[in-house]
Amino acid sequence: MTEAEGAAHLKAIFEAEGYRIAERFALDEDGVFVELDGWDATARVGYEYITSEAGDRLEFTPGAIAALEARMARRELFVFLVDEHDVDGEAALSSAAREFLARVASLRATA
Amino acid sequence: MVSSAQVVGAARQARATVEEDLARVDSFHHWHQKQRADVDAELAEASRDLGQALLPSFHEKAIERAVSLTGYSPLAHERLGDRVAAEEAQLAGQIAAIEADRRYWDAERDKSLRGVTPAVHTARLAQQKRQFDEFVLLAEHPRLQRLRDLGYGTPAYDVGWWRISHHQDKSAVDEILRRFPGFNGDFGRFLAEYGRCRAACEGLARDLAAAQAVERLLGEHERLVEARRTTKDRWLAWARERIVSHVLGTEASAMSRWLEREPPTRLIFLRASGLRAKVGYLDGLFQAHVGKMSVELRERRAKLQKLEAAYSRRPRTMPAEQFAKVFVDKRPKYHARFQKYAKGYHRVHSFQRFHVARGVEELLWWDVMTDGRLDGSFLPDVGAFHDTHPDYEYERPDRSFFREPRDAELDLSAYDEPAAPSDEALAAAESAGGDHEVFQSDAS
Repeated sequence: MTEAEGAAHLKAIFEAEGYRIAERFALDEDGVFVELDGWDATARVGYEYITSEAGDRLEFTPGAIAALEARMARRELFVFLVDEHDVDGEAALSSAAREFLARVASLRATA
Repeated sequence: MVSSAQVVGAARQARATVEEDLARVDSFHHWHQKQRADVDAELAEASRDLGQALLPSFHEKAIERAVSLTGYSPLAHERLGDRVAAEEAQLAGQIAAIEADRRYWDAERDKSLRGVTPAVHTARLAQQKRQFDEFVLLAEHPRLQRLRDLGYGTPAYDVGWWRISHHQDKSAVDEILRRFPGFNGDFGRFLAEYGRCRAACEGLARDLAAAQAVERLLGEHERLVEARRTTKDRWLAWARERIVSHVLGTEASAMSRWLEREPPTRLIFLRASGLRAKVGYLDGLFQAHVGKMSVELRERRAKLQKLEAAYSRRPRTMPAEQFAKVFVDKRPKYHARFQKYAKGYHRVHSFQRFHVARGVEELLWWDVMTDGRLDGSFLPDVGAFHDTHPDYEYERPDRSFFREPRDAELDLSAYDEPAAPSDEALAAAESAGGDHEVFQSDAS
């Protein structure tokens, strides 16, 4: 799946779940500066489809990911991180994305 | 004029006849193959007998006699005794090297004390390993190693749930555990068992490789011991093959004359030489008659098929003269040819009185076998003989040669080499530094 295909697929799933997605959103918060493939600024939920083709690996360095994950651990925001190498077809991507969103919803409900 | 329908009908009928003839030709072929195999077996036996008669042993005198009888001088220079001794020494060295290997003695001890042969040991290990292999094979999954490395199911696993790889890991675990319902979804317990099975597999694979190496070692030892035991026999067989090949490759008349000095050996030679000629004649006869007939019949079948198709596709008439020519009955012609073939084949195949050739000066087996009554010049061997002997004319041997040889005439004992030398004689020869290898007479 290419960068464009993967991002479009995720956008469709997130929007189907009610999120209002802005594409290629530059997130610049508390020392985290990355451009996300999709981001709902109100829900603070987004996704990033990491591919070599888009040069994402230069931006999503281990340091940047660690900073993002630290904020996710504190439940300040949620970004579904997808490495193209871990994607085993569209169906698997959809299922994983839905599971991610269900988890987010569950955490928000208990917060 | 003949109508199209008549032509098609005649073509079909003629083709049916050709098919019948071809089936007969095929049956001749099978029959010939069988006869040929029987004669081949007879020839192999006769060649063995000839080798044994010409070279009963490696005794110096036996070699001298064989060279003098056959003119096969390379045998005198082969230094067969040295070759045998060299090979035996080499084999003895290889055997000693294996016997110096501790694994050999351990295996021998296990065999004698516990009755466990290396093969049994290997089979047991393989069986044990199979049980663990089954578990490991069933657990195989592209992500299993990763799950083990990351410590899935333990606090060490730190892949965030927001990563797709987390979902993939979870799916993989679900898939693996579905194959092992006995773990009730406890992946940690599964991993522990998997680790145990993997370790057992690896250990058993090492043991198995070692056991197989010992099995090979013992097999090699057995092979070498057998090779040492049969060294002389093998070299003797080798030398006999060479001398027999020389003798049967030499013109039969010349060799028969050479062997006149030893009538029993000559009789054995004549049988082998005659059988060798018989094989060539039977093949030649088959090829010249049945083989040729088969080609002709196949060509005729193709022609008839073409004709039938052409007249069926576009109806037309055929001149009566042409019709008669095309559909002439060829069976009488084939029958005559087969009669000729069968007569020659039977004469040659049933011939067994090889001893008759003692009374023939210029030996052409074809004439001896057919009593000079059949022309065999169409056969390559016979034709070649006539080319090299332009003045040859078959002379029937004297009646006395037709008589079966008496037992006394077949007795080879008078030509055997002297009795085996005594130990003292051998020691004396050795101390004199003689370069003639002397062996005991081999019972062949």
